Amino acid sequence: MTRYGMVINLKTCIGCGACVAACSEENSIILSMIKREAKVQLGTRTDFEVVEEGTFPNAMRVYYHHICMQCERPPCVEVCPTGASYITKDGVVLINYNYCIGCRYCVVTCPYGARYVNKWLKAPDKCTFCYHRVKEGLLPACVEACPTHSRIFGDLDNPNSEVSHLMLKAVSPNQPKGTETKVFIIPP
Amino acid sequence: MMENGIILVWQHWWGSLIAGYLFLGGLAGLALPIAYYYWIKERNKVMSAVGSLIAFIGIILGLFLLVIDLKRPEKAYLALASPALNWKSWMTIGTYIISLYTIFSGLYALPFIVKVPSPRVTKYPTVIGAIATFLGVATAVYTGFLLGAIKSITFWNTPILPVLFVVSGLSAGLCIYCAVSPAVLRLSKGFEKHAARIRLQLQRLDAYSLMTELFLLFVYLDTAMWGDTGMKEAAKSILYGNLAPYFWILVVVVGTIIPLILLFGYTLRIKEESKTAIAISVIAAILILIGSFTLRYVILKAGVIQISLI
Ligand code: SF4
Ligand code: SF4
Repeated sequence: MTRYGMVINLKTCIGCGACVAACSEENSIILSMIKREAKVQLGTRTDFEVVEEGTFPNAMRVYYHHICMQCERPPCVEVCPTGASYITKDGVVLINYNYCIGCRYCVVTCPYGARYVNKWLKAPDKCTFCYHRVKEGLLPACVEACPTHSRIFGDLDNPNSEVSHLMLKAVSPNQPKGTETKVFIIPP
Repeated sequence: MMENGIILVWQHWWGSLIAGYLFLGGLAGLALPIAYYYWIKERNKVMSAVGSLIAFIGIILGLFLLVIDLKRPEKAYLALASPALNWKSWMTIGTYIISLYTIFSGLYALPFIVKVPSPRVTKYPTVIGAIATFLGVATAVYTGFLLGAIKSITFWNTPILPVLFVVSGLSAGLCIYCAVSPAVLRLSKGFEKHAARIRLQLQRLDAYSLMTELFLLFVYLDTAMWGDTGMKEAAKSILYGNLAPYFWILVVVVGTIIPLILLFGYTLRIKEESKTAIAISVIAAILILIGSFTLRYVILKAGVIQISLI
């Protein structure tokens, strides 16, 4: 069975922001919504935080990516009263806006801060792995846009796919434990 | 904010409207059980009428706040009737409890307000009251579970929270009675002689519940100080961070210490009913309500999600 997943390679990420821009364009999210100065919550489906680590001469810049981790056991789905947040058969967590009442229980509950409240939708929004593209055989917009091939997307259950190989080198940022993410990070 | 590889995100989605909802849920949830006690014990119709009305009005106001806080209030009915309703969500369970409680507190209030032929009505309030009492306590407890179910915010994810909310709901419910019932009792024929006794009973219990609340609050904050980063940051922001003015001034001093001084220093000493006793009870009640609301607000605002991205 298909189980979509993604690996983000922080070793090769150069922090150019192409993924953020491509996502915003694909999913019509206005970039000016980003509330960077407030440092509270991403106003986009994906974003990254620039962190300087270490001291000279071993200093480096690290780009920590913010994105929905597509939890295998998603707390956001567990708490959603109306069943608007749901998980598809191929493991992608989506929101059905016909049912969403905008209570933001899911936004508060997501342990990765991956959801934000979209002003125009009047509801939460988050990464969908570009489900509409994936269903047509395309890659998610961010994956296609990344110049250094730092975001790799594919079927985790397919032993021949690139993600399923890279997954073994990566970590699952499972905090709190037990959500079992399908987005994996290769540490810098 | 980045600290030791952990990103802290302060909860900013739920604000004073949800705080008001949690506050009214606790208050209204415990108002009716107190009324029911006076019904079972001494068949006191006046107290029952007052209590069920406080509960009924409180819970309707609370539901109103909940609905206007939604980003899509026009879809609120889906919380009860969505085709994909999620029974595992505390929001769903709670919405049902509260809706049932609204109906039953209304049903309970009915015979005390409308004049119904009396001999047959004793059984009706006893049965309806028992159901409503259960639902009322469930409502108050649920306001704690609603936050407790949120695993990302460890500060809320503790068993003390529901207990704290129930005790705080009790003190708020009691103080409204102390403010309203003496006046009502004095005006009701045949009940004047009970006014002072009932007020003293309620106020003594109120004073104890206020002290318990303060004690629980400090146990809660102290355990949080020993917890993980998220809990620690939350407790710090309450004790000496940006929420400290609300906490120390409104919750501790205005909401607890001053009312305790008023109760122990004045109203609990007057055994006769007088206008000043009533006036001071009203003032104490207002202060307790302010403290009780601010408590919810402070706890909501102190919620912090700790995200470790690696
Ligand atoms: S990362 Fe957050 S929004 Fe995404 S599936 Fe997990 S809990 Fe839901
Ligand atoms: S905001 Fe919408 S998707 Fe989120 S928990 Fe509420 S109803 Fe579900």
